[in-house]
Amino acid sequence: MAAPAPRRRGVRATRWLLIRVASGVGVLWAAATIAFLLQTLTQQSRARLIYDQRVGNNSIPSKGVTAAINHQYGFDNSVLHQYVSYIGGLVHGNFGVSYFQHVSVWSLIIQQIGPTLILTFSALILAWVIAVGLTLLGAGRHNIWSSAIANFLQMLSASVPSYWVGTILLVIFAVNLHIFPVLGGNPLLALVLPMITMALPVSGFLGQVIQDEFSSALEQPFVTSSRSRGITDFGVRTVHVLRHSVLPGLTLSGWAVGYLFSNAVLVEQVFDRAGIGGVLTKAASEGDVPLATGVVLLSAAAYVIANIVVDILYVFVDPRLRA
Amino acid sequence: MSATTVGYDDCVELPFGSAAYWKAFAKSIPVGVWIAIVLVTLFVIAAVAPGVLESQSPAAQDLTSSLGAPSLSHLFGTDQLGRDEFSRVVAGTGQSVIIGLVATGIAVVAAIALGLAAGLGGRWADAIVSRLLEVLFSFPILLLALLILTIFGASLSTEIAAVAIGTAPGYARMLRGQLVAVRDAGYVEAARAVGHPYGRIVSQHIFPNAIRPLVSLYTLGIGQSVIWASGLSFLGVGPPPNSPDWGTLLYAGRDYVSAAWWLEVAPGFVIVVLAVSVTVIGRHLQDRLEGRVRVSAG
Amino acid sequence: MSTLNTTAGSPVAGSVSGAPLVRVDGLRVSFGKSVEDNPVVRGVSFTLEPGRTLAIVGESGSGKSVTARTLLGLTGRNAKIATDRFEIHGVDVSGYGDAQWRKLRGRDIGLVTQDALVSLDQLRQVRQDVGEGPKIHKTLKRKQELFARVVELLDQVGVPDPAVKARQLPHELSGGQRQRALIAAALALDPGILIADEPTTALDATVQAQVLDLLDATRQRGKALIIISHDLAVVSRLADELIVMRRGEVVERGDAAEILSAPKHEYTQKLLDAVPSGHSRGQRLSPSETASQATVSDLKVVRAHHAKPLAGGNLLEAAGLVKSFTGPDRVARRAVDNVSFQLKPRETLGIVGESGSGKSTVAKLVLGLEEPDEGHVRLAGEPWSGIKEKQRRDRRPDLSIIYQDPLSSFDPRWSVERVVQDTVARDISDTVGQKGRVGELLDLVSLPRGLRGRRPLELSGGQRQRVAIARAVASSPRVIVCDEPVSALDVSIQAQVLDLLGDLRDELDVSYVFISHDLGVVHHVSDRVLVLHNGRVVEEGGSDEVLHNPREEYTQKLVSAVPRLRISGRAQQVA
Repeated sequence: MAAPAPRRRGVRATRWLLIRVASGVGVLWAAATIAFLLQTLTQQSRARLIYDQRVGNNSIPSKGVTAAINHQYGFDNSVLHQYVSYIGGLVHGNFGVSYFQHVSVWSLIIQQIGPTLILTFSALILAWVIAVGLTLLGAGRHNIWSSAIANFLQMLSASVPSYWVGTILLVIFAVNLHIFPVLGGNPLLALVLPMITMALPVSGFLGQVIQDEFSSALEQPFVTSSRSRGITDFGVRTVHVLRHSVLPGLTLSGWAVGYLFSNAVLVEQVFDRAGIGGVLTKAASEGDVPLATGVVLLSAAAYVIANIVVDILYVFVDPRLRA
Repeated sequence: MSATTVGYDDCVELPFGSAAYWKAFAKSIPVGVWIAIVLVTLFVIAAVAPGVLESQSPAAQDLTSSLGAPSLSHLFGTDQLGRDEFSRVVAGTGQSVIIGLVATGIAVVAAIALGLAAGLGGRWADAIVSRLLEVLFSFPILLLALLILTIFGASLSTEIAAVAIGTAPGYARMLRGQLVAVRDAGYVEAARAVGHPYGRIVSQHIFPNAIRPLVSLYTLGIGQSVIWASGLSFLGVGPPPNSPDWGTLLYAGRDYVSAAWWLEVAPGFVIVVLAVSVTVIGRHLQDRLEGRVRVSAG
Repeated sequence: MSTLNTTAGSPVAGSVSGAPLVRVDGLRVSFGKSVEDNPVVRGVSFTLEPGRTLAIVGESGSGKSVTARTLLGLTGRNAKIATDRFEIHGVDVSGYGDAQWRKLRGRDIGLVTQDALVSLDQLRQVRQDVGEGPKIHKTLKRKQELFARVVELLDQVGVPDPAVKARQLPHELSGGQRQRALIAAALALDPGILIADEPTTALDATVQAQVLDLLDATRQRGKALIIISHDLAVVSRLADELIVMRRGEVVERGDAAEILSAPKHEYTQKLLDAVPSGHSRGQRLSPSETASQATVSDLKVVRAHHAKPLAGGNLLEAAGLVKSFTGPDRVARRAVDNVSFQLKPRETLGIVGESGSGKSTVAKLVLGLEEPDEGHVRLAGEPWSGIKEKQRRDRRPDLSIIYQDPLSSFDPRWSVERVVQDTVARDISDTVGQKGRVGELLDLVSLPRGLRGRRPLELSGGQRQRVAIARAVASSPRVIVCDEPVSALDVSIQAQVLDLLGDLRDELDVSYVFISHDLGVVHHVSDRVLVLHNGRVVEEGGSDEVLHNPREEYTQKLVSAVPRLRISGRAQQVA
């Protein structure tokens, strides 16, 4: 680039990224602290909970047994001591040990997180494809069909639960039409319905912000100015306006990752898929606090990373931020 | 410039409360919104007096007609014990609606407190609250709710608290944004220049202008809360099923998707109808508050 | 319908040599159901010859921009257009579809729009927009050639460091450079016709003059120029021919110099009279309205209880004001640097400066909305800066403000009446009394009674400014700070508002601090003038003295840059 000092620009970009990552780590540290504080609120009953699980019934453990359990899990240490060792463990990837499965939380989650990540991010990409496609076709043109579809998707996104959409799709396409497997089958084929289920509402949210920005950018003077140089309508939409309208969609995508994680838990249950949904649901019904905390913290980490990626993409699309 | 004034010349402002005002008011509400209002009224009846709508006792079993398809006598079909699904859905309305109302209410009140602290409480309060919101945002709503249920055990009150805590940060962030925008608005500076005390400016300008979107947001939020809360029940981690809410019905129906899809579709359909109705009303309120709908003669 | 064939070649294939570049007869445009349905252009005709400049002048809603866009086929999808004759380069274009227009755009006709910051794509480098024409029309295919052409074009229009600027983003260029780049983009394919739609409206006077010179230079190179403007002075500098439009109709047309010196139509005359300048001082700019209905004595009653005798003779005193702001790059900049002035009773002090001169910051310091870093403000002889807001509050009625954009200074929920009532409520506690006074005030600014229940959004720009004035005088202030109060208004509305402010000065015994970038307006209203540049006072003195015989170089540059009505036999020089 012909910028006066390209090297300084590189240094600044690196510094910006480091600050951004540091603030992400800060958020995660605070998230872990909140998670830890929530756990300590159950302090009194934790030993009892673990004991119940061990003996398989509701009986009151003797003082000796309680003390032994407390000692084994470190509950007899001071809260500060527990906090320091908890955070220290997290730094080394140690999320604790499941109360009920007696193996490390990390190993339980790592087995299951793959399918969830695939589902989440493929749904996000599909949502973008739908939103951008509808926008290019419809926004700013008074096309009744595309705006009807867009309105429908927006209503869907605001008021139709994903688990219900999933059920309907399952009933129609798997149970009745046998196009897709109800259970199992080809993993790629099995991904289709859940992915669509998750993508539809997000494409509604995304489509709304992208279309709004697209329509208002179409009214901007730079569009008239570009048209006056002889550009085609399609050219205006793809070369100029789309780039502007992508920006608010990117901002929303960071948030959408969290929303998709929430829905993944539900949709995985609808389609009986492997993933963290099953892990978390099981943990919640058993009261397996370390496991549930681990899942939530890891999804928070995924959210934070996704938002850093969004920020980087944002700078990529909007060159004004590069200066 | 003149374009904005066109069409207002024949508008007559009607005195508030007069018969003519109410007539014009009723006329200014679109048909779709009226339908939504009627539907919401039905939900209220189902919640307050379920007996009025139930066609039979929701607990009455009839094993001869188990897993029956929807028919005139059983609008939503029957479940594995031959119970009338429609009556069970009506019976579950109360709990589902209460969760939605109370969880959204708690979330909005918490959001107002946080938003006010951040928007008007000075630089430090803003920094602290904004960071806190950022952290809470990193927890996906449903996952945070599940964590809270894991730690505190399943009960109606934990479920309400979990949904409230999950949704509050979104409202708080929005309110903060509104307050900041309004705080720096030209009319606030103009009021300062007139010499009005700060308290008067907050109560007359900043608060009313910032709070307006929350009114419609509360309405929209009820649908969201019902959806999330039913989702928790759908996972089987909701409150114990002594009086099954819609989500619990969905959870119970999961095993019969292939054999009796209506057990899964019907309760979900009711959730959708409620959520769409409140969304339609919420959006209309939004239009009204932003001055896009006016009550006028002519 | 048309004779255009698909083979490329410039000018338009099949063009008739010797024919005028543009010939339009009886152009009608409507955005309604048919051409007859509420048309925005009702029968405009003109011809354009090479090397000539046609100016189309009118206020907002006159249809001048729509007319210009029709020449490029850019009127919009739902526009209905009808002409008796419509030829470009002698070719009938009346039945052209979008694909045919696209071949013309950029190659035969170039368009320069106003406000280059939003007319260039913010997310793309300047070279991409400037080179867009050759790229679309495929006249230059190789990247290096295209870039070389872009640099050449930018150099031609006087952008410094063209090779560097070409790779920058629009916001990294100054306002004048952006406007030049936009002209370069329009010239990229060397079109025979250049249309400039309000090309200088958003620019400071000194930059405005340079851009007008640049446009004139392209005309001298043989291009035909159509310039659209609301500003007669801008037009008088360039135009050979002139068309004056009002509400879609041509009210007067002909030789520019003739029309400007001896307008035949009453509306043209009104427009010329409405232009404020040093010579119009003390005269009304608008045809006299019905005098305000409120009696002044009613209004003075309220002043009595907070008026104190004036010590020292100065109503307002600013001494050595300094105010710095920290930018996003964490570098502190002095927005106001050692500014001092005094305001005497019944005096109007004009503060002139270009954008970034610090004039609006001075307004905020005077109003006590910002505290100065150094120096002090005294109001009616008592300290006004450096005290607690609580101590200021009782004296705030002495001082009020009128903004450039009144709309954002009104609470959007409130009716006009309530906006004014909110200020009145300081002095009058009972509602009946408040309402009565609000009525008087709105009568005073001649706001029709039918508009008073409306929200500000539903008023026109001039009406909004009247409400703002009613609110400003509601507390019976001694000083009103006017921050660019007429900059957003059409010239005839501007004339009415300036007349109203003049009347109120006499009737209500107020003094003004009048801030504007427009030398003509400032000269018209001010007794004394303060010239600001980069936060510093460059020159100060009586307004005739400073604006007719400026001593400082900067003021001289500023005064000479102001477009003047070039009219023989009319003492209509601005400043």
